[in-house]
Amino acid sequence: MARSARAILSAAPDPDNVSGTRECRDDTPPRTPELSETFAAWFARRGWTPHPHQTQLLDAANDPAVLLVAPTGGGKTLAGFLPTLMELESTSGTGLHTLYVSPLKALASDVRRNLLQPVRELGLDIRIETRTGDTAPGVKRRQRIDPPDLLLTTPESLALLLSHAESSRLFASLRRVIVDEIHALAESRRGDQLALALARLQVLSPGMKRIGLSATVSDAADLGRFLAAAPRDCRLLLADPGPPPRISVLRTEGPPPWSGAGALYAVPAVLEEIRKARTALVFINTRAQSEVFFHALWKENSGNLPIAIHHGALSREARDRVEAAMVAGQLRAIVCTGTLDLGIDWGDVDLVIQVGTPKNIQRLIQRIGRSNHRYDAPSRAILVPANRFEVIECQAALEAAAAHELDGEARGAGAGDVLCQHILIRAAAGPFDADALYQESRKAGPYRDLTRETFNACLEFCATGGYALRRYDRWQRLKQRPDGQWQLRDPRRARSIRMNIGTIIEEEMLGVRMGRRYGKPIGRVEEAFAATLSSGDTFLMGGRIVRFDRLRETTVEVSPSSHARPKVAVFSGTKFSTSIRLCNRVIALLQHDRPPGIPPHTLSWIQLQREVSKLPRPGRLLVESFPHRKTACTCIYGFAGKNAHQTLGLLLTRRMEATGLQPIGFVTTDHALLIWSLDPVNDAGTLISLAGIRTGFDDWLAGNAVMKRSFRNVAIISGLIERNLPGSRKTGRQTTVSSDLLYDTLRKYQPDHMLLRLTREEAMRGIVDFARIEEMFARNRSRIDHVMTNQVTPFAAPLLLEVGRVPIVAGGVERMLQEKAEALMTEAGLDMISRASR
Amino acid sequence: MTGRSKESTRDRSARTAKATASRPPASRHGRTPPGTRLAPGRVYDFTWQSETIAALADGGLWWPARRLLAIADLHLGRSGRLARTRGLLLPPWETPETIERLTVLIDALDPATVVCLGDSFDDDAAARELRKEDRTALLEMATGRRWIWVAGNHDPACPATARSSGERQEPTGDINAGDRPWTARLDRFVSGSIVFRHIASAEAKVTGGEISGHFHPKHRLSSRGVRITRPCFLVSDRRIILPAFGHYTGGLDCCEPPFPDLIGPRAIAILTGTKALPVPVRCPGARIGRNPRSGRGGS
Repeated sequence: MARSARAILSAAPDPDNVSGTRECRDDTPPRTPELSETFAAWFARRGWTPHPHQTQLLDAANDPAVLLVAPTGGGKTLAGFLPTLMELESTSGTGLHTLYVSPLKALASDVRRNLLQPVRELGLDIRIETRTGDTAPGVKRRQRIDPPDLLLTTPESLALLLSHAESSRLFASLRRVIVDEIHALAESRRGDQLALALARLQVLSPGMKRIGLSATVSDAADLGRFLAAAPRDCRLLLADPGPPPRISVLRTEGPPPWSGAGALYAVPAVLEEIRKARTALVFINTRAQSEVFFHALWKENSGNLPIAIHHGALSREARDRVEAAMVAGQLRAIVCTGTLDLGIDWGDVDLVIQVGTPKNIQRLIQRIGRSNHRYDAPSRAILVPANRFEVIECQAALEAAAAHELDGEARGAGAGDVLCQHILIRAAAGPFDADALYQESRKAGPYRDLTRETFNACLEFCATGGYALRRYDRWQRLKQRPDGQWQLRDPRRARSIRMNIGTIIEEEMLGVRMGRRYGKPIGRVEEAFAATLSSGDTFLMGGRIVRFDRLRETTVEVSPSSHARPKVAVFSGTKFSTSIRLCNRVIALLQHDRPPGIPPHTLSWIQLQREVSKLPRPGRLLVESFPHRKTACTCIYGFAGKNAHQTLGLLLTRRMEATGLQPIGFVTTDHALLIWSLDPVNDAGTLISLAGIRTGFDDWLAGNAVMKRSFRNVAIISGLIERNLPGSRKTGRQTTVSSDLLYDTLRKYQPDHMLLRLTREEAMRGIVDFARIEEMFARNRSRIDHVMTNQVTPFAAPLLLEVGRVPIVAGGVERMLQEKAEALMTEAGLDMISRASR
Repeated sequence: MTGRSKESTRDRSARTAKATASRPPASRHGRTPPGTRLAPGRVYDFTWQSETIAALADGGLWWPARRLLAIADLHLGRSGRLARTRGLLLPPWETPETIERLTVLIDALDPATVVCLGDSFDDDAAARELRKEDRTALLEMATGRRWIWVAGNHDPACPATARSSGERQEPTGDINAGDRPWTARLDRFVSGSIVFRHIASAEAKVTGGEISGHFHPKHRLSSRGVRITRPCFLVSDRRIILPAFGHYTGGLDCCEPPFPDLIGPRAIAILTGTKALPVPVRCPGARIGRNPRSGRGGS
């Protein structure tokens, strides 16, 4: 406990524990007058000196908004709490003073534990409590009436608090909000919801101050605008980033394979690095790959090093066990996904291994920051390229990190569906004035440019659904009172609104249990994956091979298996694309005669590509055409990321179908797209044009399955569909109407409905990623290097080996369904008894 | 025989049920029943209880010998009820959409009798709240034929315009009484040895055949990683359970209770949608014939 308290509060290190050089800025005095006597004495007793940014934050504590950007281990959390603790020294017990918001429930509890120690040592009489989804209902009720001095919570629990009428009294005394890991929150809709909640809090307590705590980001000013009350700016405190991390690319005896993302070739070398380190975090980009890699590590792990696995599809119990073992210092490594990007500080981690390209330099830096939570020591990281092309990309990432070239993308405007939810939450708390709520919403950073028109559309949607077909009076969720205020038509609806607060939408997942009904929960799989399983199939879950026994209601029942070659659980999860900056660095690297840092096996491959074809050049689009096994291949080096290439593939093959080139299928990676067709593409310039693919794009997009997926998210967040029903233990799945059906109905009867507009915006930004396609065309204009050869080119060859080829089948689903039905009837001997009329 | 006009139907509609029933079966296996203008593949006909019955991809059940169309669970006015009772504001077009599909089906088949197997309205208030256009469309559809509303759990009293309640045998006599085209509202409807009711009867033994709705059965097929779920008919020796015809209706997987107990191990599901596709009902791991759960425990 002492260590973890130390980790979170670590100021400068203990004098007896200083290793190597400790660089300290000279411009700050070692003791600052701002520290009260009690605090100064406490720092002295611990043998600590406040970091410069800790005292700077104390200085700025009365600014309306301050953003502190500091590396992990910089005593950031203590910095955030110092002003509050000092104020509470004299004035505790006068209602809720400070609200702390973090993205993780676990982080809230952990921070509370770690705060209790200094509070005790300082002799402060402060009540600190958490409030998350895990808090007992009785405690929650009591907190609303008798709040602690310091409340630690999550954005969702805060939104829930604001939906209660008591919130105005509860927050009237609020002096400060601390938002931890704000860089992570700001990335998603959770950030939009939080920003709206902050705007609401500011109305309830006009004097409230805001402190944001962030890891290293590319654009601190942008993040500051997210935190501050618009249109005001935010004060930025940029702490000393500490010594630069030591990053290297893993060298193995043999070269990496040509394709794939599993990096299994590197398992022995990775195991060796784990053995040499004290404790390692092994980041892998997807859950499925982490399962496979973990399984392979254990096959090699003859020394029985304690290595665990941690990802979002594992059961809460399994993850808790791993985290507890880590805190207790019992583990040598954790194979993990983005779930450990944030969270509890583990002081003992001295190595971060990134398997597969990091795809995004900012995330790489933040992950590396997870190691060596000691401010003065450099973090150490090893990148493991999964294939030959990733050797180049990892080298590019390493150079970008060294150059401090971060690639965070600018935050988009606040999402409309979140605003709809916010309006409903506001209505649940009591009657409101539309003008006031509009003005208040515009004070939330992401909504600073919100137009009255958009706000009105959202309000109208919340009130009546915004349908062109007028219905009777009771077709209303909100109604306007004679005095102009809006309120819930039926106050009892507040309950279902509260039950559906939140902006995190996951795929439909099914729980996996070992054994019969009351078996131990071990994790979750996607419903779509569970549906493909038949009794006896095996898959990996939590590093174990399990056998599928049966599906009972919403639970997958499994038993242990000794099968050697399991199916792999597929998790769609978030699929990041390689960032624009990293792509540009890769292209730049390829312009060198002998790119530095590239090992011989990859150098000769690049050299061969230069001889046989061409290398991709900045500002030009490389396209190759060549025959392969009686088909014509076209390879487009778009460097636009996997999602955009996927969209481009669908659009181009559609055009090719129209012109009779008979496309068969395509495959994508982050840097290229390879299309197979029966007839060759002779005129790449005509095929690949922005105007061309825009033709009919809207129709194509509207009917696309990805739109339905985006619509589901928008419909749930905006409150069109309720996932959770009062008085029901079941999820809404059984009782609510399928969102696909609602989408089709809206498209047919009111194609300009607000939710369809929101869906389109969402899809264009996310899965469809049309912005990257436009960026690709802007970058290359119509300068195309079209190489036509008779042989497979070196860069294209790995694409021929990639899995995940998308087939082009006209009317595919119906044909598949018919084949399957006929096969089943024959198998059951039923085709003789009954027959179809056609 | 095909392409008969509306006028001639009206004439025939005055006939008694007996006359309708005694018309010789005009359909042979492997041929689309006469009177239908349905695309090939959208009909699957089979022999059941010594009768030729056709399951339609649209979700209706067609009994050519009696020119009888059965449909289940229209759930008209569902979005209105959800708005009223749960504050949900779903796109309010499910009623016109359902009526439109039903109109197409009735125009194509020109049935002498239409049996709605209950839950035709999402609740009794929904029947009263029907928009004028929708009510008119329904009345037009019902004119010139027998139209039986079987009461469902959602609509025990519907429609408001119907005649007396109570369980009766097949009504005889004047079918179109005055301006009310609805023939009857019944708890069940019997034709020969076949009974039509809303919920399949609980007793294991059904004498004769039973046609019902209520459960909204769905069937799931997966192949090459693609999973498709479609509303379906379930056909066993003595029972046929219809899919929901309504637009906003969820469904219950045909392997979930109570289906195994109702249809036994040798049932066939006929998928609806683009085609009427028969598949055997195979539930992996399910212990068919026994109730797998006593309570609502488990997950």
